[in-house]
Amino acid sequence: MTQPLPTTLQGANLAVSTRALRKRFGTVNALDGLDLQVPTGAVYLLIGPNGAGKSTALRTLLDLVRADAGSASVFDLDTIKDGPRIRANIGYVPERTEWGYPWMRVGQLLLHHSAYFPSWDAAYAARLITLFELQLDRKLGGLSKGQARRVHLVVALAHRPPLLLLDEPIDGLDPIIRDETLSVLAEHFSDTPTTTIISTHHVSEVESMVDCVGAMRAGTLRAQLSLADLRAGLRRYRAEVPDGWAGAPALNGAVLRRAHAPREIQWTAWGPEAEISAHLTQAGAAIRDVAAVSLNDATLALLNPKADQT
Amino acid sequence: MLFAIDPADVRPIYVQIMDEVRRALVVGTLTADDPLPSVRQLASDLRVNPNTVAQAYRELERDGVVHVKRGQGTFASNLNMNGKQRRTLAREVARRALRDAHRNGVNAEDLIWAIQAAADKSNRQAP
Amino acid sequence: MTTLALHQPPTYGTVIQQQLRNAAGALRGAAIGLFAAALLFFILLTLLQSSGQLQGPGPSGFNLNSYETIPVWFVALIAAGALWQRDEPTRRGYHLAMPVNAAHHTAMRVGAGWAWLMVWVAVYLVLLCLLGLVLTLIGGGQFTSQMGWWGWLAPFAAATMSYLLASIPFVASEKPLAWIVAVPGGFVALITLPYMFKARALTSVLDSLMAGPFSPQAPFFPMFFRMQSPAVMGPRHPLELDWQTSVTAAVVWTIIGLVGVWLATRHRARGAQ
Repeated sequence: MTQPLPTTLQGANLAVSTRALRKRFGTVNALDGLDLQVPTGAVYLLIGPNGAGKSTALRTLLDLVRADAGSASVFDLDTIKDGPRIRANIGYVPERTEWGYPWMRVGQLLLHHSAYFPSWDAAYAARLITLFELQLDRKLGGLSKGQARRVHLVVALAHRPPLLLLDEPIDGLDPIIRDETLSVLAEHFSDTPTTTIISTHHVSEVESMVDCVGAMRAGTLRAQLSLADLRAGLRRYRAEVPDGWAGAPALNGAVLRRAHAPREIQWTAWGPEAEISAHLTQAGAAIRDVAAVSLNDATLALLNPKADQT
Repeated sequence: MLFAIDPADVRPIYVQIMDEVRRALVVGTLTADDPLPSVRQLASDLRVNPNTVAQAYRELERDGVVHVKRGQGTFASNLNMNGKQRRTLAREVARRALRDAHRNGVNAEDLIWAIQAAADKSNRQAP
Repeated sequence: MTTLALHQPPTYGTVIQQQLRNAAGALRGAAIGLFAAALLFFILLTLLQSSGQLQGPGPSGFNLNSYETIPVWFVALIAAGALWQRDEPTRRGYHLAMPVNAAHHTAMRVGAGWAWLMVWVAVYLVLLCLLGLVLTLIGGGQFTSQMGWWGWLAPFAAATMSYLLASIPFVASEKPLAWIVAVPGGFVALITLPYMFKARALTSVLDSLMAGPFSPQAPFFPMFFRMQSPAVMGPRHPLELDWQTSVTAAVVWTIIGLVGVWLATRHRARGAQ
């Protein structure tokens, strides 16, 4: 018996939840029955290949995209009915860097934005501006990717929203600013009660901030669980096996990633360690090492298109 | 005191933080009644979730390694470092070494023998 | 759900104020350009007048009439375009992600642009009067005006209607300029064909339409309320718009424009914003 990957975060107090969300763009199913569940106060990491629907999911919460079917709620408010109220509580860093008015200067945009968000913390904004070395007299249209991203971060953080949606927030930043940004985010989480959804390919950089993980592929969640559960349940097993080893049929469905060499295997499998180890030993494998996997390796395993579980 | 954590380590991050505090107490970079960095400060320095730091501090407090002075922060407790804490740390180091040994096809006996030999050698060189 | 204190969206007063400020920023470049062009043109006229080259065969002087307001509809088009520059529906995410009802927000932005356009038209009329004064001071003669009360209002009405109609594609389309060229162009082609092929039944219908408030020339040239129709429109009807028709046309086309803009604000872009 193998256990399927969990896709629901049960019992949690949810800040964001979507139910069977579907969205089709032309012939592409961007969202295909998405049930996102983000516990209040969590840092939720959304992983998935390009085109998996991560950005579309985030944009649905802002009502920038309207789903064809299903529903979504943020803080128990409906994204379509209560759009303005919800957006007043969201700080959003978009994936695209053209955002705002190209003719506007950075300083003007910050002023403009602060008027729309009554909770704007001017002192905090000023601190972030210094930290990110923003030049307020630059026009938005002339900013580099990294500069634009920093402007978006200030705009998203400075009103201390209860919900942060960060779509590739550190992409395009140089290593120093990237590190600075992670430090700012950690501080932000200390100072402000925030629920955060981060969508990024830079998994290892945000790993130590994450509470929950959602692995998306083809518009749906393949796995959704807390990082603690992921760390406990997903292990890499290295074992020596006899020549012509037939494998371990009992583990079909549990192994997410396989690497083989003559007389040696390295499998990433989901399930209780004792159970998996027992199955491997029964099948004639001599386990040499069982290790926790990094979130980066977990990502590869969870999203492996050749995995047993489908 | 300085902390070093590795997200790819087998140990969860809060355990790593706890181990780092214990290590600092054992080697003496942290002594009784020294303040620990604030949760916010440490989270920011390590780029980790503040909840994780708070969890580590909570567990350390429960173990009696640190104590909280209301409104002032978290401080290292006065412990006999030659005793329990040192043994806890040694056990953790041993576990890690054993795991590593097993991966390399070395059994426990061989490992103990090798450690003893290496210790003798470094003792001969040291004085 | 925790008893989390949720933040409130801004008041509409704040949003309108911000949109007015925003529109001023978006229109700034166009405003400077147009003002410079007008000034240059007026200086040129003044120079020509002072060198005596502007004197026609008739009596000298300056007659302010509704023809002087022709540029207004073009200016309105520029205003609509400048307001939505590089902000097509699929790139409007920033505007739409604000904590305001998206359709209302867009409508408020259109309104803010319109408010500034009215200022432009007023400045233009002031400049025209100044030009008249200067020209008559230099060249002598009378500074007369044929514009009744409607003549003074017509430029504002013309600007409003052109602005609203032009705003529809700018708000709702990825390729607004294509629409702005194609729709009037197609329309002209469509109404020219019956005359070219002398389809009497059709041309008489068109002729009567041209004389009324639904005349497609009405929104763009309501100030032409004494305009003779072009020769191609047939000699039988001297297609004039008297001022009553022109006012009716202004009302009719403003309503059409408003409905169009309202529909456009509710349009949702298909792709990503």
